Formats: sequence, C-alpha cells, structure tokens
Amino acid sequence: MKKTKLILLISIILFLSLTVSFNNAEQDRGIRRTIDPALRDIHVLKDTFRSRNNQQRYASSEVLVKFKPSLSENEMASLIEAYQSRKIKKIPKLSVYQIQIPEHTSVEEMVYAFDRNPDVEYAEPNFVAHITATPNDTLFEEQYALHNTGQEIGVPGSPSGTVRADIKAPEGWEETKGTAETLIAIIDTGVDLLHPDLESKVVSGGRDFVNDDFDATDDHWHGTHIAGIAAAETNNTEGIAGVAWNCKILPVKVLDEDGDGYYSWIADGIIWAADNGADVINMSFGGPSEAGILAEALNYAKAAGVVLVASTGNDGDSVLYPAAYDEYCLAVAATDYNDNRTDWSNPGPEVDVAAPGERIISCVPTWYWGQGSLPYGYAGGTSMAAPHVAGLAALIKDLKPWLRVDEIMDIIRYTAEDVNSGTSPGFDEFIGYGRINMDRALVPIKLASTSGE
Amino acid sequence: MNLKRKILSTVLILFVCTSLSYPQEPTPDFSDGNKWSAGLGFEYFKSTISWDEDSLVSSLKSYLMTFHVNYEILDGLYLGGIIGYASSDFESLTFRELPISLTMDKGAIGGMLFGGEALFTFYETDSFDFSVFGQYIYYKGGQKQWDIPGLTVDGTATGKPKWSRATFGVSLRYLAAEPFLPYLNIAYSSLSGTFAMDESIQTLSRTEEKSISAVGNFMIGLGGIYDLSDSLSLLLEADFTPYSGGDNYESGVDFGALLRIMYSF
Repeated sequence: MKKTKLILLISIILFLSLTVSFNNAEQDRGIRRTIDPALRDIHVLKDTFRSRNNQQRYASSEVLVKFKPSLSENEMASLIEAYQSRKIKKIPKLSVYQIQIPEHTSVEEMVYAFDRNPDVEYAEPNFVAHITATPNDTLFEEQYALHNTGQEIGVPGSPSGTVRADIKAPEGWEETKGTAETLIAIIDTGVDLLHPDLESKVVSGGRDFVNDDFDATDDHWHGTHIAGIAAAETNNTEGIAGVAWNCKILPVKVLDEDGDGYYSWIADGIIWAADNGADVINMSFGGPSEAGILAEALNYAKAAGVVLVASTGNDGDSVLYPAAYDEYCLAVAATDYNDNRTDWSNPGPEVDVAAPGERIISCVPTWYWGQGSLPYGYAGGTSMAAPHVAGLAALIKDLKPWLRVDEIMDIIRYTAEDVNSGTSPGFDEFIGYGRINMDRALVPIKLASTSGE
Repeated sequence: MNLKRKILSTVLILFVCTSLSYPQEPTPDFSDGNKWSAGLGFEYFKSTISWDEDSLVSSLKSYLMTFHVNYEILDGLYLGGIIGYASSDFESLTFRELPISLTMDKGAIGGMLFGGEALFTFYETDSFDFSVFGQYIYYKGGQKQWDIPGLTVDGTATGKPKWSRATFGVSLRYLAAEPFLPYLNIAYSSLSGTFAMDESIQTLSRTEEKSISAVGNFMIGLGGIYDLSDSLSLLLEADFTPYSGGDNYESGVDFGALLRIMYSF
C-alpha cells in the first residue's frame, strides 16, 4: 500500500514538473503586457522625491504603553517582563513606557496584546514625525500665500493674515516638488535673467517679441515678479520659494517697458512657447477685446498639450481676455491673506479658481531698487494670483504626465477650497470653484471607511 | 527568485486545477471508516503586500469564514472544496495614476471565496506521519463605493478587489499523544491579486488597477488537532511568514491563525 502511495506521489510531481514551464511562460507574458511604460517613468521620478507613503511610520521594534495609575512600579515592570519585553525608558510626566518588544513579534501584535490587558490604559506604536517640506529661503516666512501662519504681511505694523489661509504649498511639496523637465513659460514683460533667485531656473534667454530678438530680459518688473512666484529657485537659503520648486522657467517677452503689448506679439509668444517645450503658460495680463488671433494661438497651444493660465483683471469689471476664453484658459481671480476675495478682482462666469494676489512678495529685477537693496518686493493683483496656479499646474503635469490638459484644469478646479461658501456656496463668479489647494490636488485623498457604502 | 516563485505558484495552481492539490493544514484523521467530512473554519491573516512594482508596501488584513467538505478518494489522499466569505482590508493602498490621487484608509471589503484543498499522507510510523498538502483560495470582493471627500463637486470612487492564495508544503504530525495530534507545517505560500479603483468626478473618469503580491512566501505553521469525539475534531493553527526588507520597508513577520471544526460521516 505504501508503495502505491509513493508511486502516486512521484507521478504527481512528474506531472507538475512537465506542465509548470509552459504556464509560467504564459504568466510572464501576461505581466509584461499589463505594465504601462508610462508607469516606469513615474517610479523613477518618485524615487527622487520620497513620498509620504515611503516614510517609516513608526519604530519597528518599540511600542509605547501607559499603564493604569493603580499599578505600582514593580507591577508594571513585571507586566513588561511577562510580555517578554524590555523597558527602554519612561516618560515620567506622562507615565508612559517606551518598550522594546521581542524580536519575533511585530509592533501591531504587541500593541494588540498590551491593549487587551485590563491594566493598560493604552498602547500604541512609537510613531515617527517627519519634517514637512519647508524651504530654507530667507523670505519664505513672508510668503503667506504658500504658508500662512498669521504673520504680518510686510513691514512691522502691516496687517496680519489668517492662519492657513493659503494654498497649502508645504503639504503639496511632500508629494512632489516637480522636476527640471517641466517648463513654465512666463509670457510677460520678460524675466531678469541674472536675478539670483531665477538665474538657475531660466532655461534660456527666451524670446522677445517686442524687440524681436532672443533676449527676454525684463525692462519693467512685472515678469520677474511673476516668474519668481511660479518657480523661483527654492531651498537655496536666499530669497523666496517658488510654487513649482524644481520646475524651470521659459521667459517670453510680449509686453514692453510700460507693460503693454499687441495681441500679435502675444499670439507669437504663445505659439513660440508651445513650440519650445512649454508645459504651462502663464499670462498675467489681459485686454478687454476678444480677437481671433488670440483664440487661435490659445487653441494651438492647448492642442499641443500646454496648460494655459491667465489672470482675470484688476478693475472689478468683467473678465479680460485671454482669461475670458473659457475653453482654453484657467481664469484666476485673487484672494487676500484672509482668504477673502479682493474687491478689485474681476468677476464673471469665466472665473475658474482663485489664488492669493494681495501683498505678494516676489523677485524684482536686480536694477529695480538700485544697489544696496534686496531685489524683492511686494505687489498685488490677479497677475500675482495666476502664477500660483501655473506653478500648481506644472507640478500636476510633472507628477502625472499622462493627463490631458482638460483633466489638469479640472483637477485644479475640483480640488479648490470654497473659501467663500458662507456667502456664495458652490461655484460663483467671484472666485469660481474656490482658492486653489495644493494638498488636495497633489497628495492622495484618504478614502475613509465611513464614506463607503 | 521571481521565476522560482512563479514556478512554485504555478505548480500549486495546477495542482488544484487538476484536483491534485493539498490543503494548507492537515485534515483531521477521519479514516475510521468515514470517507466524508465537513466543517466550518475561521481564519485571520495579515499579509504584507507590495505594489507599484514592489516599490511600496502596505498590509492586507483578512478574515475568512469558510465551509469545508473533504473526501478521502484513496487511502491517505483527501480532496476537499471550500466556499465562504472573506473580509479584506487593503489599508494604505494608494492610487497615484488617477487624476486625483486616492489612498485607502482602514475599511474592509467583503466578498465571496472558494477554493480547494488536498492532503496526501505518504509515510507513516507509529509516532509520526508525513504528508504533503496544498490549498488554493480565490477571493472576489464586492464593489465598494466611497464619496471622495473635500472636493468642490461630487465625486465617487469604486473599489473592486480580488486575490488568490496558493499554498503547498509538507506536514509532520505527532501521533503518540492521541486524542491531541500536534503538527508542524512548512509551506510555500503565494498571495497575489489586483485592486481596481474607478474614479468618477464630473468630467474626470479613470480606472487604476494595482497588482499586489505578498512579500513573504515561506510559512511555518504550528497547530494541533484535537479529537473531541469519534466524529468531531477541532483544529487550531498559528502561521508565521517572515519576510526580508526592501528599499522602502524593513524585515518583519506576518501572522495568521485559523480554527476549524470538522465532522466526519
């Protein structure tokens, strides 16, 4: 009988050995087919920036236990020993023990075991806190728009903001800081190419359609200010932080030294930026008239996969063009340091979202204030609101390059914070869907068990 | 290493498909003239799973309630079927390919499971017997829908999980302490599956399917069968699955436990 069993066993093993190789080859082919090549790129990028989920959540061999106050020190020590654990230290003021758990057990098992003991008030892992991505730029604390701590906005005596009335930049940077592969075209008065906070971020001399050359140096101040908000060099121990921490700037000059520009220059600038690798175009300007040339240029850029961001205007009147081209542009209104809509921000059904635009500190050309002054200054307007959105669009595009332009625009709209819900709940013509929120737009949203069905 | 794992898991799947597979734990000795046995089981396991091409890990915690029917087809060879319900919690599984990234908080998803198991005792002495065994379980979770919180518009996410676990190994059982029969299992276990998450937010709509697989494969099980009567047996088992650390996670040990009561007839 035993012989029969042995023969049966050998037969089974032989049968399986013969069939294994065929099936394994099939399985491998199946796996290869399901891997999207785009995903490989994502992982490479994510390796560069440790995401929240990669971080250690708690100490792997320790738990924290608080015993009931009725227990004596000796009883607590015996109890710890009974769990084959060892006291590392006690936090006397809290009566909490930091305990080394046995090698063969996991933190979760020991927390469970201690928690079930009636002499234990609570047991929990020794969680790890991580610093949030706060840049070391010296003027970062002035940037309430990125991280509002309720600081004074400007010189001492200036008004203070409301805590967390901001776009949640540090939270968003925990997920991604972008890469140098993503380009934000600043179509404006040009950019100071030698500014210490922009020099390393500018990819080339750009294009100047006002003077028809390839030197988009700023002869105003506006474009430099806008470029700084969107993507100033960040964590370089000086100046300000840019929303798109690592993304690069493509300067395009379409406005002259007075801040004016013909639609023909603007259309040229949009098309040139789209043809020269721009992923996002910021347009912090506007005109009251619609024009075929502008619409066509915008259509060209959008079709090329460029996200277009424009400011709504600052005279409290209707939304200016190009922002009013709803189909092509994200139209950006301005809020202030208290998350209130500014009364000069142009309203209209075309408004998509808002961002801080009041008292925004950023770069100004090095020649602007003269020698001895730092090349930074405060400015206000929907012009300053738009580059916050352009920076966020660049980070999204960098993180998820497979998304279509319309999808990126919708992400920014749907993840905004309806900060005027008290007076105008839902979408409204003052701030559109709301003030942008980098945390919601970039960091995975938790699906709570209670929200399920 | 991956090839070996694939080969081994394929072996087991074939094993089951061809009705030549073996259960994860030794089936109680029902050989007192009884060919059939049936019973109920309860199992818990926590499995550390990797995803995104093994770059990230999280926990899969599952509770299984099972109904088993076994038949001794030849002397010492038992074949069985399993059907039941499982509740699986894919805590911290994160979907970053969706337009708006989502991550699972705690929240189990119930679903049906079915499978097969077999055991073959190939060597016996007065005090010990040696068996090979195998088990295959397939879990298909129901659809679970969440409202996506914090958006300016309504949005929903719908999760559809499934996994399968194939286990096979050898078992050494001590026979001299009847009615209690302690045993030791050493097994290879492969757990893999997918979690498809649909996101639908107005114009934004996309599905991301994430492949998951357990990082630990070699399992040690300690258990015992207690014969409550001639036809009623109780089985208890604890399983430990160690795994080595990767780039983003440390080494550890996964744990599982099962209880089964069987009636032979």
